[in-house]
Amino acid sequence: MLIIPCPHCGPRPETEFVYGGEAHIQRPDVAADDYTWANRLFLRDNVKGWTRERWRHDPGCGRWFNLCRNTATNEVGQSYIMGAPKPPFPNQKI
Amino acid sequence: MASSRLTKGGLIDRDQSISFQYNGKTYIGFAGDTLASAMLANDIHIVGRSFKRHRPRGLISLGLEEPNAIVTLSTGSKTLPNRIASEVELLNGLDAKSTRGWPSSKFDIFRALDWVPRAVAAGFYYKTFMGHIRRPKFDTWNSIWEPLIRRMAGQSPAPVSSDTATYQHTDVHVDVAVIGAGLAGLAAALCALNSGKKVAIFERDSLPGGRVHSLPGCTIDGETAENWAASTWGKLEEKGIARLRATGFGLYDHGFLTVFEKSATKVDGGRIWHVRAKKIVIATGALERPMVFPGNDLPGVMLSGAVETAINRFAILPGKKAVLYGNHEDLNNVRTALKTAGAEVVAEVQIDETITGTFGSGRLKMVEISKLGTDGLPERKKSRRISADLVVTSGGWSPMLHLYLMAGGQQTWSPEVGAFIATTSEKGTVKLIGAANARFTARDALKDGATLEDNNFSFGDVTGNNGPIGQGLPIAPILQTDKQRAFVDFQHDVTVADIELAAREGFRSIEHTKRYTTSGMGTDQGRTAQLATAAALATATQQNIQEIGLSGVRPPLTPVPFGAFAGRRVGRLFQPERHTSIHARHLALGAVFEDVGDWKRPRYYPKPGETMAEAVARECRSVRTDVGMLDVSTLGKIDVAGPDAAEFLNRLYTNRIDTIKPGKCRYGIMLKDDGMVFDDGVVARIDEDRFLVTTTSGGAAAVLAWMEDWRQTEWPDLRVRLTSLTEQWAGIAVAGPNARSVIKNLIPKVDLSSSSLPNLGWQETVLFDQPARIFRVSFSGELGFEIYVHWQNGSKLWDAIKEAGAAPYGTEAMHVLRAEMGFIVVGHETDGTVTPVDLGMDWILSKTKGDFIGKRALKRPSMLESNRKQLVGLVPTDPSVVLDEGAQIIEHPRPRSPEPMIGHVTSSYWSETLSSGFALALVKDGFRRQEEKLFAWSLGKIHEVEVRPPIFIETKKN
Ligand SMILES: [Zn+2]
Repeated sequence: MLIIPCPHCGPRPETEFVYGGEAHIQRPDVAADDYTWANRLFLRDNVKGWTRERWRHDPGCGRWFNLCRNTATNEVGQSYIMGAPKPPFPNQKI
Repeated sequence: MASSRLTKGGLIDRDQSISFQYNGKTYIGFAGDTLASAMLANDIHIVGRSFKRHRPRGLISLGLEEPNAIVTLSTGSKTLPNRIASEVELLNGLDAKSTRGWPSSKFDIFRALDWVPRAVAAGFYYKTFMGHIRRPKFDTWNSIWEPLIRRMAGQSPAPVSSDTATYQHTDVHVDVAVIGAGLAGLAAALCALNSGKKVAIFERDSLPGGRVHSLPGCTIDGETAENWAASTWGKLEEKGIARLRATGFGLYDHGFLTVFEKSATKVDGGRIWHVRAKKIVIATGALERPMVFPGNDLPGVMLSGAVETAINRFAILPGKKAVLYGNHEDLNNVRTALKTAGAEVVAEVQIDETITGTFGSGRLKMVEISKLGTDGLPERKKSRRISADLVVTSGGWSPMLHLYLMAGGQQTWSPEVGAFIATTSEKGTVKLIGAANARFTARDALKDGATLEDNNFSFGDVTGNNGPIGQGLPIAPILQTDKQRAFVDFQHDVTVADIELAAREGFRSIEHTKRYTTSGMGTDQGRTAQLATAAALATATQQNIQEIGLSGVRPPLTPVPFGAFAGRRVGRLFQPERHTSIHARHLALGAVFEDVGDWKRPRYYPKPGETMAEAVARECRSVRTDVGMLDVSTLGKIDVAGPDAAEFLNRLYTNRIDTIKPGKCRYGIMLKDDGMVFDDGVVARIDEDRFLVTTTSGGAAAVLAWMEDWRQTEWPDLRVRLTSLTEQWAGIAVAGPNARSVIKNLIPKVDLSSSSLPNLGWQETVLFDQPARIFRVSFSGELGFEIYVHWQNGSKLWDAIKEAGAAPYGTEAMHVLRAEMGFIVVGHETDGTVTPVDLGMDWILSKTKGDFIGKRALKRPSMLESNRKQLVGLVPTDPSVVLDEGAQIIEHPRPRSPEPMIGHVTSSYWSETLSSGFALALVKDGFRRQEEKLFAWSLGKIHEVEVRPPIFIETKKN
């Protein structure tokens, strides 16, 4: 069970959080073509290794944030608030 | 006293005898015994029958690796399945049964299977039964084979009564958690304690010390190792958390350890510890491996460590004439123990010899030892037969790495150690010490633990028996002539021949071979089988054992009762129920409830002697002809406030929200961004910058979370705030032609006429001295109002409306009434694959808004195809028929095979108004099928239906 650093509340157990899928996916304009929309709706990178994803501290502060996590080892890196620039991944091998 | 019990020595209390039952017979053991040791002391040699061939099996170990002595314990009417006898402490009145063997472990009618071992060779199940499953007409699988195999296979029967024992969960946070209180674990825990750390230590045995009780004679700092262990344990108990009978069974990410602690006084109950530790120290020791030779499974063949434990800890001499057979030279301890206890070592198998057979009926009587020829094969011509009642075997010791592997550690073959060892002794915050870290002697193990912290902690001198435990060589399965009876997995009856067969059939990976042969798949997780299986496969496929590796491990390490995982979350605590403030009234009326989300909602209110159908019909009649009342407090209610509230909701709903005037409300539907219907409800504008949104009863939390997601992540620029008000307001719907006259006197300050309160209007008023809201909305097609009051006044409102003449109705009548009007219910007519267009609700999609969630997806090509499933009404040709919900719609009265299923029934009821069954359904190309005759199939019954528009009753002008 992960310990996830909420940017607002500090480290808390995974059971306090809701997972929200891959982060930094832009919602296209309504005028964008089918391919662009299909990409947004259905296609994810499904990375093995370091990735950025959305989490919500549901029964805590209730806020969404982004988290760096290694999907192969379950190591977690930095968490950062929505809209903040992407931090680098920890300098660790996958 | 039983003949095998020694007259002195051991850690048993001869003054405290304990009576227990095994297979219906009463026996006597002593305090300090386990069930297994008490069985051994009572000369119970056959402890079970093997899985497939039903060979008699005896105890080979006295620890948690024991594959054969699996028992079912009974307490009262309850049974506890698949317990390892060597892990069960002897308690007065213990009632154990062998789980293997039918009718009893001593006499087993399936023993005949062993005469033709090929009948149950590797892959036997796959090969024999695949064909049967494909021919359902000749389904011998369900009727004959499966019940028979289950009975034969003889895992414990599942308990039939519920587990009434109490199980606790405890969460602890510590600096250092140590698993295993052998010398290494004790030293590490003490070292951490001396460094001021918060320490927890868990030991699965009922005594701390590990192997010191099996190998006496070791002194630590002038004290006997037994005393040192006890006094160290005392310090740990005093200053930290120290628990016996507690097995670490799972190690997860980020230092999360789960431990199951058994009750010390009962066979059931216990506690699961959730341990979060900055450092996890694994000191779980090592497991001894049996040798592989023909007849290595006959009762009387035991591991050397188990024999030492039997003699020194339990004061039992398991045999009087012993043959020693190991693949290493560390059998000194067991030789000494046997001789001291009065046994004779009749033979020791030499390096150029092997055992080629064991003889005896249910108990070892004779051993055949043969010389190995130059080709490595035993030459039975050069054999000797020796009378013996005990074969002591040792194939070396394997560090117990299970928890380390669960934490993501890797293992590698070490030719020096003769075992798979950890690639590194530290993996993140997890550290291996002691025998688990291949430090096998007492001195090395202590040193390994004592250097956990950098504090010059010293345990003094170690003298006397340094307790080396045998470092074995890999158990190359010695080339045998009789591989059919040389077992690698005792519990699942897998032989060297089975592994070779799997190899011949192309299995090379250990994971595939394991599943094909079932080696290592028993309740013991193949603890005694793993290495022998890998070695046999390596030999058969001419790979080396490093390439083969061992199969993976997963939690739980040992069987943990389901009740322990459930903890206190059983019965009424399993899932909290939500009750409205009017619940007591529903109970008083004898309501039958249904679950809606976590809510208990009245489904119908039967009068004495009434069936459900009769009650629902009566409730529907009330609403259609007079007036009914329904508790709608469960509807989700979200307050959406802020200068941008209208813009926010405009983006979430498919229709215009910004054009709703204060004092008005509008039905709205929300889509996911893929265009599929997500939730629906009524949006009321409270004032310019405030809305009240209602959601489905089950969807409230999901809708609020959905709104929060968009508010926080996609549109943080919008000034809007969301608050759940679901439990602030109690609500009652009043519906029927007489609705207005019934509530008129209750709400004198509000003019309820259509000119003052038109359809989809709402007004604020005061009821019971607190704010109240009256909505003019209808979910039944009848004149309808919803009245919301402060939650605490719900029952008062209920009483007042009922007093005024409305008849309570439940959710079932509500469903009938709404379905008659063709109103959808999210979750009935929608399932995450249905768009508003499929529902014939194009009218709710705004054409004047630039964008809303789901808008663009509705224009994707697959959304525009004409043969999508579309919402239609169905009326059975035979009006007395009420179709099953979920019935499949087909085009032919006699289905072909395969008959295309073109749709399914989403809602189906009896309509009192129509005097007929009727249904809503999603049917391919349904809009164009009006008046077509189709067929509804359910559970073998077929009914003709006619397709109609999904509205069955004319809309009234109220
Ligand atoms: Zn938080």
